[in-house]
Amino acid sequence: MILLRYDRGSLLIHGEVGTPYGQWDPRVGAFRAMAIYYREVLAYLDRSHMVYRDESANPPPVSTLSCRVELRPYQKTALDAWFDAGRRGVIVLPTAAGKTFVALKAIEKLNVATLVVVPTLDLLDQWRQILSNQFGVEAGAYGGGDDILKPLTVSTYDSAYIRAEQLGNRFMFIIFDEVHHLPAPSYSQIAEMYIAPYRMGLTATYEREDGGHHDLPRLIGGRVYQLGVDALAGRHLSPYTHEKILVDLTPDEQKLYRREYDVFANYLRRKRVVLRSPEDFRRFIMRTGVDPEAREALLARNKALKTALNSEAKINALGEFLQVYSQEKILIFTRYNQLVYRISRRFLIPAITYQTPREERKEILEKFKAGEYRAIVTSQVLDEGVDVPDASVGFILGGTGSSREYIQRLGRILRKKRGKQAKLIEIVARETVETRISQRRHR
Amino acid sequence: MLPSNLLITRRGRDKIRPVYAQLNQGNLEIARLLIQTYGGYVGNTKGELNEVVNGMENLGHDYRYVRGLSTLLDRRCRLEPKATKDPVGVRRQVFKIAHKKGFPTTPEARLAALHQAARQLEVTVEELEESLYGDLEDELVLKDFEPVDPEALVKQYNLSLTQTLLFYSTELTFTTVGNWQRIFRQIKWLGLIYTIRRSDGGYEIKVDGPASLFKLNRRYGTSLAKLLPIIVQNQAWRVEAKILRRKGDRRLLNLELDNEKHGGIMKVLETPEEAEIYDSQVEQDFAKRFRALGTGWTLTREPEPIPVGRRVMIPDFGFRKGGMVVYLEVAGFWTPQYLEEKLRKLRQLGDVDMIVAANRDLACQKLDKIGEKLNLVYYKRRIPLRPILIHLKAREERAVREQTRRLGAESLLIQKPVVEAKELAEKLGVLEDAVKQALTEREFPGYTRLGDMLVKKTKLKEIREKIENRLNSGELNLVEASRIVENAGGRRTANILDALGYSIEWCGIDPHSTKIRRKAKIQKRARN
Repeated sequence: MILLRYDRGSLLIHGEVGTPYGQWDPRVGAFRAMAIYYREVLAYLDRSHMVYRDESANPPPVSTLSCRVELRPYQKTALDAWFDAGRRGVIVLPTAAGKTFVALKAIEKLNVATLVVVPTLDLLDQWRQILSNQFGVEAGAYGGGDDILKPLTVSTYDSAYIRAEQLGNRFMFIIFDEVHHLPAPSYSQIAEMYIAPYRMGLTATYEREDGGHHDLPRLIGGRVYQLGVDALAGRHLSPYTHEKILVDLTPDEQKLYRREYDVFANYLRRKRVVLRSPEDFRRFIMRTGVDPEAREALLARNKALKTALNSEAKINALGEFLQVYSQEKILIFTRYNQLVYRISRRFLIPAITYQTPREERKEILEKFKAGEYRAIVTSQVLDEGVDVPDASVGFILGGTGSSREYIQRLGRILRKKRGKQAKLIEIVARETVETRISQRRHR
Repeated sequence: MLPSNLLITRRGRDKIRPVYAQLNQGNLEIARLLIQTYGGYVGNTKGELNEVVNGMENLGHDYRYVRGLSTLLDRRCRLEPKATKDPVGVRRQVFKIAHKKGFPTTPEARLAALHQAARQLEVTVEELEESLYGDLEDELVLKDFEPVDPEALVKQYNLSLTQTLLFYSTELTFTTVGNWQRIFRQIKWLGLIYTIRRSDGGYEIKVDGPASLFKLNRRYGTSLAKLLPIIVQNQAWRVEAKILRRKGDRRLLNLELDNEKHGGIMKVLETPEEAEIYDSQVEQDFAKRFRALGTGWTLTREPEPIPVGRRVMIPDFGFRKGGMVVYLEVAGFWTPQYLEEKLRKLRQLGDVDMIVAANRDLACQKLDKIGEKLNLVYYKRRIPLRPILIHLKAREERAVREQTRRLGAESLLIQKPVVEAKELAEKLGVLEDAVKQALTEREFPGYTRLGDMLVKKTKLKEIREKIENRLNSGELNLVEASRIVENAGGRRTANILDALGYSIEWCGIDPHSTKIRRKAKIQKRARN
């Protein structure tokens, strides 16, 4: 008799059998396969007419799940494509196009124990809320101190990774929200260590700059459906405009900026260091560990960049805009937390950073949705997924050069609402490295 | 453990090691300075402390070392908000008022909003501003700092540095001498897998995780790092790890550490007694009483893991003497199933000699049947010494008999001109008693037995000639006779003199005033 057991993130196959999906483990005296091959191993044993007992899957029992979701035509097409692809694969839809609904419908149709993996605690709360509203059951949670297993459970990527050994055999369906996070060396192990035969990825941005998306077909199945922002803008998403405002640094800031930036530039010139690619930059960072001058140059560059990004001039410009758009709902994005708090203190706008207590974050977001708060200022934590339905104006006062970050920030203000004209306004310091960073994000 | 950007390493072709902070003046000085600064900033905000500490990064030390130390010191701090009012509540109030009126974009509008909120919360505007973000880390007040000795801090730093490097490890191999149960319990608890292998003089344990089978995997690095402190707590240890420093690195780097080179700079050394960790009072009490007896048996706690199939069994105690090992397992609460399982394991072990001490009060059932097959000793509050001593004695007698028989049968090659029973026993790894017994029972061609000592016949002859020569030229005392015997490679002069037919005449207790005389019989023979 062949016996299949789940052992801390992998499958142990006891008995006189080998499969093409694993190898002999002399440490325990059994055949071992990655959990990701659960479906393949079972299919192989069936095909070979072997008698086996499967003790590996151990999902909590699920009652009948039904939800009230009605899919839009493109959502339905996406879901069909996913089913046709063998209940695996990635659905690429722009933010605010209702990826969540596609996932909910899939959960209803499969009616099995399901884990939703999300990148942030805000999304964790949001998904739990949606799941319990839609299916009328309490949803479990892993992350942010929660540790609750339910037939429908939401987890952060971190917790799903750390707890893979214990959770890997408890779900038959796994949904990766913002799936572009998955192909990292650590997170990809979530896909490898869970047995879930049904897998769905959701994202607005399939490609990763490091090429990691080439690993997605192996991990959860490849792209099965894609729709771009332009296809939906106006009809299903709000129309939007984008403006870039250049401001001059104050004279003091300019002096400081020049002084610090020159230290950096001189170093590069003297040592003939060229920084063109991320790899160049990584090498430069490594150098700062052994070369005090390199470190000094790096610190000077950071100081210059901070001066530009946190400029008083930008805050003043923001103040003027706030007067103009006082009737709109506003999101303000910065790169550094320091600026978040300066803006929060100056304009008395609620701030959300990684230091904000979780309960308070929830409260701020709820009040923002309810219209009690008209603006939120945040650094990089709200970039993803959090649903802020009727925000219509976004300000970017600083960020990285990543085009994904830009698309995501844009997505935060594009939820469809009648008569809404969304605006994204970038405030950039003139003649600094920031102008280049800004150009990069619009590639 | 430190943030990975503070890790300092040096790598060779296929080796890597942390750059340890040596316990020298400079390193200790900066540690002391930091400790004093933390202590002196009690009552100030964390932000103010950070400013000063950041300034110390440029005093000529590697900034990563300074930051590493301050990371460790941060963990000794108790921080509290200074704010008079709960910041979350203050913010709620301020934002509510501000957003009712539209954003205050002028200083006047801002102040007006703050005034209104301050009135409602019954605080001044200054207090309000202070409380607004009084819970941010930089605003928190250092309430309490638990100081530490500079040397202990640097050692802790070195241990943390090693652990941080182990984050990048794919497997870890170690040998050590104690605390085995804790180590294996920890391995199991961390979800790791071990493979045990005999190596010279002990066992070598390789640890990795289930998924290590498929590909190089740093998933278990953090768990392996957590194993390190227990291992290095022991008196002797050696650790080797494979390090995958960067994703995409083709080569695995070796990290090699041992107690001789790294023990001193890595942890606060404990005395051997402290390093022995006991599960219960019963065990500790037993060890103390047994050691006080001075039986000649050496008692060790958790002596070593014994492989049973692919698993290991770690007895609580080991008794050792002259190549004999007897184990003692202490069972507090037990069931017949537990004893059956022990018995099953013991059968697998073959000729392992183990005593099981079982608590009679906590027994769920009396079970004399299994007891007969096991060397079972019952105890109530203390483990009785008597049955254990009886067992050890019987074991020893059995061993003596067996070894004597073996010594009698084997051909023993002795090369030294003079050898004592004790030496021989050590060399052959048997009991002294067995050797003594064997000496009386068998002949050793070419050798004469003098008590517990064997002396080559030719050597005896040589010594006699030398003494005779000396006696012919005048009186000889014991001191000089000893010198003659020892120069010739002999020992225990009195025995040898006696065997050669000399007597020692004492006049008082000074060996210088003795006289060596030929015994009558020999004198006669000598005349013939």
